[in-house]
Amino acid sequence: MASVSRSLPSRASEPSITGSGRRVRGVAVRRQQILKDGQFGFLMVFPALVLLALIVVFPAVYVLVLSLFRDSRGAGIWTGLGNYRTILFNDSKFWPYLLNSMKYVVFGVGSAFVVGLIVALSLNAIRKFKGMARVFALWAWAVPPVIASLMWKWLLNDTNGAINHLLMALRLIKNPVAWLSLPWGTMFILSQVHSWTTVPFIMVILLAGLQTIAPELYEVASIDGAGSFHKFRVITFPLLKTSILTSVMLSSIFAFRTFDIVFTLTGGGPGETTEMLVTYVYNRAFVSMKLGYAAALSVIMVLISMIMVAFFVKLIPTEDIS
Amino acid sequence: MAQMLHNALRSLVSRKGKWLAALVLVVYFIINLFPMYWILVTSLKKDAEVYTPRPTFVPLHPTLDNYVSIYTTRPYLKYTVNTILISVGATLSCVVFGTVAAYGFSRFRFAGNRALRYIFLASRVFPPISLIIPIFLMVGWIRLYDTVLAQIIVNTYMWLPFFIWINIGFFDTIPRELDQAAQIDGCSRMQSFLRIAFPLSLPGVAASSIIAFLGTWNEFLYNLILGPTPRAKNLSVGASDFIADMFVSWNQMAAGAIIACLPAIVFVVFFQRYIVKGLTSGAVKG
Repeated sequence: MASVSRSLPSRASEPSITGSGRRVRGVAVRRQQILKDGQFGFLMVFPALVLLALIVVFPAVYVLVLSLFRDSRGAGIWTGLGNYRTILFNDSKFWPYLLNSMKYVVFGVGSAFVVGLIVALSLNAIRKFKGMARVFALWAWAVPPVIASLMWKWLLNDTNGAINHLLMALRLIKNPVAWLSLPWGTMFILSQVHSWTTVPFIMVILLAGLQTIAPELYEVASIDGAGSFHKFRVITFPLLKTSILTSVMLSSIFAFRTFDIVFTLTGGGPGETTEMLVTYVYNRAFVSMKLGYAAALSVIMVLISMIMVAFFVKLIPTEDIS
Repeated sequence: MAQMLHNALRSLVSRKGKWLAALVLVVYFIINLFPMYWILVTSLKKDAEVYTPRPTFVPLHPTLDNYVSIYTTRPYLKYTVNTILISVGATLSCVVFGTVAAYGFSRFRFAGNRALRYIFLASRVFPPISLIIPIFLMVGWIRLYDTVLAQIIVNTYMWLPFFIWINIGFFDTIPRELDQAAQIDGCSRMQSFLRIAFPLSLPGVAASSIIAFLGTWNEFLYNLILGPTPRAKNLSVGASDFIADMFVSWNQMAAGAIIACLPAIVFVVFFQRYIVKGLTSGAVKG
């Protein structure tokens, strides 16, 4: 790797004939290299490493420590795994909220994947207006998630929302529907707003994967008389497997951590039907000020994220992991 | 005649796929762009036109009152300045720390090179909310609560690992021979990075910077918790304040939303290629 540049100091010490006069003088100053290449490389990485230690490693350890203390006025009291025991066995909210988080991930990413795949295949098929089509398709990704959520909150508004107006004009519904206060179904609507923000990301990754598939493969298949669905199943799908798994993995862990959309669109309501682990951590930590308990919930969220990643990494063919 | 008909039919059949694709795209674009159009229209309407049983698709009396009003009656100027400062600050520190580190990882062999790369990558697995309690307490210790600086630091944490990871990939694609030639010509290792490798990797740096910039611009959770007053509040949280009001002023909220979307519009329209590049290399490597 660095073997060639390691031999450089001796050579660089000779005045360069190719360089300008100023450069030769420069060489004389920089001739001796105090640090070996490896040390120099580490020195380049070091500032970022310090930053990482301060704002990721230390907080990660700290949250773990906090999670071992009970919340009480003044100093916390050591409770070991007490918080975890309470969460897993004595908390009537944890499991329903975890289930809601999972619903959010599965419904949100599931439909985003289906739409993203269809859009990617379509973008791959057209010849004209490619650039413009991509600008339009990418749009929802760049919109701040909070703004996306506020847009849909306004569209879904019960008294003045465009969707109710539209559906009533089409005579599909008689009276305005309060989409965000349905006893059931609001969870699904919420997940679909998330899906709206995620489709472009999945689409971009799948499209990149599609473009690496050689068109000759399809030609050969056509000669063999394969129909388009058959071609998709035998050529596209297997060759796209890695792109599919990475895009679904990344968007699943992002969906699991998404806070802004649920916080602004439903705020956990109606009732507690859309409360999830993210909102639970937020409420425990910053509304009821139970830092130790919220820290334990945070650690559980990290563990779940790790399990999700491990699950998908297992599925990705090993030769494709760089 | 029969031959012509036959040809026409055949081309129609082979084009069927394309027509279907075009139809799918048109439907998707409507779903994708209509919310934006609706919010834009709403932001240009007066109250009477917003709260009506018969909404209009084109504002009858377009007005910029809502935009004027959010900048005069709410601290929107402060939010805008904060958001720009935070996004530029975090992106710059990602570029400074990130490209140097990525070059170090890409070019030099040292103990723990591989392990450290994966530690950076693994830090992306942490959901931001799971570190918010310790970071909230730490920001209090160093008295940076409710400051723009704290926002710059936490956003750097969120994007630096991504930034380093994908720039390692970009540096790997630049031939080492170029650096080595520069060093033979008398450049120091730092100079060969600054003069040769860095300029050559600018497309990659641009791609990752745009994503980090937009990500920081759009950030919500940490701003909500660490910047509760206009001193450090950004446009995302500023826009969400409208729905906390007793009477939600949707047309003013819409104006705030449009302001918050401006960089997204600019980047997607003009730098779409870079965004695609950054997203795909980040995903493939990550």
